[in-house]
Amino acid sequence: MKRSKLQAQTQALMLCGRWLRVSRRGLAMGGSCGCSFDPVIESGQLDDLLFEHCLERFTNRPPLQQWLKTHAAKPATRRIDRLLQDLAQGTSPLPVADTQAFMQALEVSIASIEEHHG
Amino acid sequence: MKKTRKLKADPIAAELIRNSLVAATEEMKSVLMRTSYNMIIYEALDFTVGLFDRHGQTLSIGLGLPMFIRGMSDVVKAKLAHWGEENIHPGDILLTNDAYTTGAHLNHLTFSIPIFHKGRIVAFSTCMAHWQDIGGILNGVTTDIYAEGLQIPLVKYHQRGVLNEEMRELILMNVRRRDRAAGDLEAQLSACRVGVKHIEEMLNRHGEATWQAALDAIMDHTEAEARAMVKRMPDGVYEAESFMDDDAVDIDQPVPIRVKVIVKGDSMTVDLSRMSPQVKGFFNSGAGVACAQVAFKCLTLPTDHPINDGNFRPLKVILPKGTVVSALHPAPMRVWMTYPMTLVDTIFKALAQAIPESVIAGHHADLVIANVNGFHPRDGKLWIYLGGLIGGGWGAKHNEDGVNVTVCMNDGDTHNGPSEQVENKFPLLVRYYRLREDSGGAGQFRGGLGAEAEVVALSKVNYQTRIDRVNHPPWGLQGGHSAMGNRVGMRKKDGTLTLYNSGKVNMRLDAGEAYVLHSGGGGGFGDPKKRDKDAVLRDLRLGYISQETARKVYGLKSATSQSGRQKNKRAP
Repeated sequence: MKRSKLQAQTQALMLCGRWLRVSRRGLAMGGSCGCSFDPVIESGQLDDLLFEHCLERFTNRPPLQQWLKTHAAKPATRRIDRLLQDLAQGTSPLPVADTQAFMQALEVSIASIEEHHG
Repeated sequence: MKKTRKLKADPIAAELIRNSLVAATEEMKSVLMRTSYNMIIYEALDFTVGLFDRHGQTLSIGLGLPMFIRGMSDVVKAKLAHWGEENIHPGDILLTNDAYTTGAHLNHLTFSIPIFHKGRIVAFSTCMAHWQDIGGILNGVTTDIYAEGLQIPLVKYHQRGVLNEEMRELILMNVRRRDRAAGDLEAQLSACRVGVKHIEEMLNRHGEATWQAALDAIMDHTEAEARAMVKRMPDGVYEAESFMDDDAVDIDQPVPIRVKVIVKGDSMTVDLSRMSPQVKGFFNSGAGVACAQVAFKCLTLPTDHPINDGNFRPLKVILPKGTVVSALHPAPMRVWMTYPMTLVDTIFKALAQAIPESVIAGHHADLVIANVNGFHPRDGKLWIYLGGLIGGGWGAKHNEDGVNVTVCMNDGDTHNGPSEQVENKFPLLVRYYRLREDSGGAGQFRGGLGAEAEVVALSKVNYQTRIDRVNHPPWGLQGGHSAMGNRVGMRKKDGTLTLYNSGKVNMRLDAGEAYVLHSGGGGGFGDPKKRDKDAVLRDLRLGYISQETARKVYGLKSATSQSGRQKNKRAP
């Protein structure tokens, strides 16, 4: 049990690193080619959007939903990196299964952003 | 340019060489499209390839987008001026993306390979293509060039056949998509090498003297054709003015586009001295000369006529530095393409006084595109959609209605996305994508119709637009009415539709809310009261115009009974 908790904390830390790397750069999607304007996603927009996506996604897991809502209540904590820090430090009240489900989902989202970054 | 005595060209050789040059640039184009990594190049055709003579004069251009008709010739000339012919060697590859040399944004990397024959330069093979990313900030409107990414001055990417590895690494370290950038770079070089191969083959086959004589003859012939067309235009001074909505910094501060065209004998001068000074936002460019040349080409030669320097010899462009289309360092240039379309239209507007039979009324002059993105509820993955490219109306001609829902002037053959594909890939539902009733300017010949699209978000999405010509709609000519302008809006879940006064929005939509794009129509031509009544009835029947317009603008009596149109029936 202890071992799996440590693994989850390590995984959260690694995910946090990946998230910070992709989210702080924003995304370039053409730099305004002749067929477009300056299509970009700014870092703040990504954070907001992903947070809201998580809120909608985990309605079937009450503890996870509650944890997300608690973080969402304040602008300072309504951030993906703060969620992951919470998990990495082992201070979240989430059951292991919820932690795993959350990180699994987040991993997919972060990987999809990395794919756009190249 | 000082000319040496010309040899008389063999007409058969000249014709062979003319067609070989066109074929060579077509092949360069195909190679680039089939080897580039970046969809902006192979789908949106944001590139140009070209062959140039030893002075940088255009021999043939393989156009991606229409506005690239000219810029590369100036880049080749700048390279020649920078190094001097004596310092350019076999095996060199010359590169720049300097915005004030190319006239466009930093994403346009332009590579040139000098072609040597018997120890001296005879031509250049060149390729410009748009890289998906060139660094720079991603936080909305830029206000100087430093924010827009890596600036590459005139440099040698290869020196005497040896790759400048440090230069390559410097470039790739400064872009976000290193792998794709590297792929596009190699694709560009491949395209250039195809041009080299073809020129060498032509020289080996015909010999340099015949080749040069043919080039002179080809350009002289094109020049003569263009001059003959100008000579048919009545001499005079023709002026026109139009406006852009704003520069995305000073919102709602119109930006004037003013042109004066002087026709005298077989020559034309386009004077752009009274254009707006360069602006704070990223709409600046160096495209003034290119705009004049695009208009001139349209007016003097058939659109499918190969492009070479001879075409532009009868044209002089007066363009002081520091205008919005001749911007100076460090003006931001990232969205360089929007204003030039309206400038070309304004040149037509000026010349409508002289040659109404050869010009069209104003068109919607914007891509009308939205950046839509979010995380897909199905799998949690980020999706990005450049929504729109819905096309818009083109101006009517003196004898023909404008074209409906066609991509704006700059973008030539750029494709849009089918609604079925959009719905399959993204959590979006296309509620409708249809012709926009009454959007074409009324006239004896009606302007083309714009489109209207409403797309429902099925989960939360970001929605961002940078659309212009909302408040300054496409104009009519010779008594024709203006069209409806471009519009951006959103519909709430309760059905309330809000259309914004600005085309520049950045917002979040909840599931069930919809974004709305309206593209402008084209201006009308001639007095609407003179429109053929059968044509009005047809427009009414097809849903192109409303009954009110048929009655009030076109003077049609008892429109309903005559049209046979069913209530609420819309054009597809």
